[in-house]
Amino acid sequence: MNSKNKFIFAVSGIILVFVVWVYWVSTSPGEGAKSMVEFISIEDLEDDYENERVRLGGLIQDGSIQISESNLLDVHFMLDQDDESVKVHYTKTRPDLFKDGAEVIVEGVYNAGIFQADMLQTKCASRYEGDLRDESDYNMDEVEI
Amino acid sequence: MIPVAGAVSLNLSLAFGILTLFSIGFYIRNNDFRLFLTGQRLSLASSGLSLIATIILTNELIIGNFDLDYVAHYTSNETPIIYKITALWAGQAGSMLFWLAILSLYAIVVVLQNKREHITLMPWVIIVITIVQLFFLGMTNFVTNPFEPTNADFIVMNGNGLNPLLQNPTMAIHPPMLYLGYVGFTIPFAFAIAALIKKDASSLWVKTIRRWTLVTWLFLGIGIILGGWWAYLELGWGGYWAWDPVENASFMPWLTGTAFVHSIIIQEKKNMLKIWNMILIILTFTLCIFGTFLTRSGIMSSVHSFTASGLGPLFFGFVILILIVSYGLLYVRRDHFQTEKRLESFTSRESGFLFNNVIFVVMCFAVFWGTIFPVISEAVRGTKITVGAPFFNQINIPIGLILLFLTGVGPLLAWRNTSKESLIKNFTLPLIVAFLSAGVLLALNVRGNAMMTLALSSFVFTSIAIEFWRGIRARTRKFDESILSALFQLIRKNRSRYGGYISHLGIVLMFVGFSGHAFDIENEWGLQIGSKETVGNYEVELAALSEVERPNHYAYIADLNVYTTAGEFVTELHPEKRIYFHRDPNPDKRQPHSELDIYSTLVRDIYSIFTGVDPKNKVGYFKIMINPLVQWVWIGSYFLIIGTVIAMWPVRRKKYELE
Amino acid sequence: MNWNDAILIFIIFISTVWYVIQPMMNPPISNPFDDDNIDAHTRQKMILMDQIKELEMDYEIGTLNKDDFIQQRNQLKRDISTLLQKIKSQTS
Repeated sequence: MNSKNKFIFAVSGIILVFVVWVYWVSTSPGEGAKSMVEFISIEDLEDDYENERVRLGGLIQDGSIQISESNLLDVHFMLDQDDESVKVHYTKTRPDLFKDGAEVIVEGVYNAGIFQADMLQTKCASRYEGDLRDESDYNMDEVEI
Repeated sequence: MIPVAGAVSLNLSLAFGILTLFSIGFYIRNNDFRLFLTGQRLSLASSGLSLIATIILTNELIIGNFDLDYVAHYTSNETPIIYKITALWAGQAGSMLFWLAILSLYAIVVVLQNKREHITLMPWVIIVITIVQLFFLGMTNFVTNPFEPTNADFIVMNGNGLNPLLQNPTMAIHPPMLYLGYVGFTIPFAFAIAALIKKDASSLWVKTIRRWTLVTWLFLGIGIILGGWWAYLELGWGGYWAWDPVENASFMPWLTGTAFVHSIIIQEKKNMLKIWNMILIILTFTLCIFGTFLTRSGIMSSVHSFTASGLGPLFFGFVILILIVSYGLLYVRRDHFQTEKRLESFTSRESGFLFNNVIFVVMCFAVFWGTIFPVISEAVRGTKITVGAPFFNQINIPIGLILLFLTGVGPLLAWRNTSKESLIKNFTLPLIVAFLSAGVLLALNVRGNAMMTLALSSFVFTSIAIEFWRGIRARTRKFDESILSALFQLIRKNRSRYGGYISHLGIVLMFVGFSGHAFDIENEWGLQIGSKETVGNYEVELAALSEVERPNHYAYIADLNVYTTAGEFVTELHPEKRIYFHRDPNPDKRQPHSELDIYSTLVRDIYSIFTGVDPKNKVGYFKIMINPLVQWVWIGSYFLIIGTVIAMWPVRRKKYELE
Repeated sequence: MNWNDAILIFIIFISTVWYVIQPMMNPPISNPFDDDNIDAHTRQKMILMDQIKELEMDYEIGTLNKDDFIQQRNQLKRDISTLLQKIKSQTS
């Protein structure tokens, strides 16, 4: 084998090993499965995804946040997605932007009518353009009409 | 009042940009040198006008002209002046203009620097840069114009203000650094395309772009590190890297850029890997544009994302266009860039560089795959899938370890071929050190990836130390210098080599920091005043809870005492829960914010977050994390930066002649 | 739009146009800087000389064996002397 072919062989070998590795991590159960989670709608949740780890996105229903008297970290709220909604239970630190009407993403398991979330992210509202415009255009109380 | 001058400057800049193309195009056809001089000036004028527009917008932000939609959205009367300036890159329209401004700045430097040099390449270099400028000029003129007037049927007396999260000094430096990095790759890309067109396979222009590339690569690196630092200090999830799509977007060009700064050394020294280098620089530049596209298009749901807008398809088209044209050109010109010299042996420094390159690109592809997978999955199978940090960690840790290993191997290999004897001679000591430290680590019950990382780190550290030691010994023998002055002279006389090693040392230290992640411990609970809870080997006590009103927020301050489980006092921590806009009658507009407090040592950080407060019952809720070795990530970054600066520092030339 | 703006725009416009068209006022010239010139050769020479220094460094440290060192250094020296001849022929 001449030197050029030797190197082409080695480099293709590396790439092949890598492709197999990526495929294995992408499809293997165990740690890999947890890292790839399906993003589904609330409608699908109740029929097909009971006891399966999934992600949901939606808005927190106004006035639905119930914080436990004895433990501030313990919270129930309703997650709205168009016409559907689901009750979510979450017991970890909540992001600062967690409030009525906030857009959130939760990850967890649905069981017996309650979505047990162990991950909750708020969409960084007002971080950038669009969000701001949608929410409330300007500080109305300081605006003279 | 709308600042018409700003909008007109942008229009004129666009016009002058188009004229630049014509002028230089005619020069290339007719060879009338006046046209080239005019083209240079047109390019300078176009860039200058873009800069003027940026200055005008900055001025409007500072004076708070809320007649401008952009100003009304991102600043308010209360915004401190420095954050009025940073609002320039807080939103979409402004950040596009900012991109353009930085590119214009670079364009001016390149044109002025090369008035007499690279005279056959420069016309094409200017053309390429101008085309990229025109893309962004088109954006800022027609799609997201920052000089758009406010769209309201009332007079706006005050703006929205900048998000408190962005009101952090790091945010004043992180985005500009990232942009300087992203944008800077345009210049080496332009030179590469020009060289392809002119079939110039010499190493003259390579030398010029090597420094450019190092500078811009350094900016990108600093930008990424600052982003991680900001996340760690401000966002309060205890980490510095989350594999968020936008983080990945900046990491990908950094990876290919790193491959490029390595392999261009081979081209400069050995005139090899020329086609490969072309592939890399085109890829890196495309990834920079792609990164901007990811951030702006809303295709990814990410904490950083700008929401969906008309920019997406335009950017995507531009990326595809760059790829097709550049790689098409490379394909047509491939025969001119073939190398006569061949790689001769696996155990040579050349192949060390080659493998390092392949692994970097492989890693970039892995990150790309994970980033883009949700989009592909949605398009192909109709299901949305999110790819989380565990995926990226699992895939990238082995690849990272191989790279770390190669960092140690490279310096031990000779050019062309390393003989068996010198292989044994060079590798014995580093390998002994690596195995010894692995043994010690196993005895300390450190296993898995952390053990591998630390053992490999000791391997690389030893190999770098040997390099330094040999250099010093060579000098002390030759010049009769003391060890210290030999070290100093060694670095001074061989800046790129030893600067490179110092950067490698930085990478090793960063890996040491990464390995600490395996031992992170966290706990969260509510604490009454005087009560205690345990986390790892520490006990945390809430000593007091106070409240204070400050000019732009209301704060609850916790006094936490941290003890070891043996009862020894360690430190006090004062995390805060703040409410911004607390005087706003509408509770929805009040914005809570957790200001964290960190006790940082070389061994571990104790990281405290005030997550919630129940003022009635005097209960505070806290999340405490013990993060070992994190400081080494930042210390490593300093070495990385210092090493790079040494490597790219210009050498003052004495006139010397060959004997 | 008020007068200030108008004047500012006018000044910006006129001064840039004036700056840009200046070279066209001169009679046509051909490219005065050739890449095949002394400057370029001198720079190329510098690069090669740096490479010799690096080579010596590698040899002293021990990452290059003697045969390779001698062979590569001779090659570089040959390249430099070719360049020196070119420079000489152009200066004379």
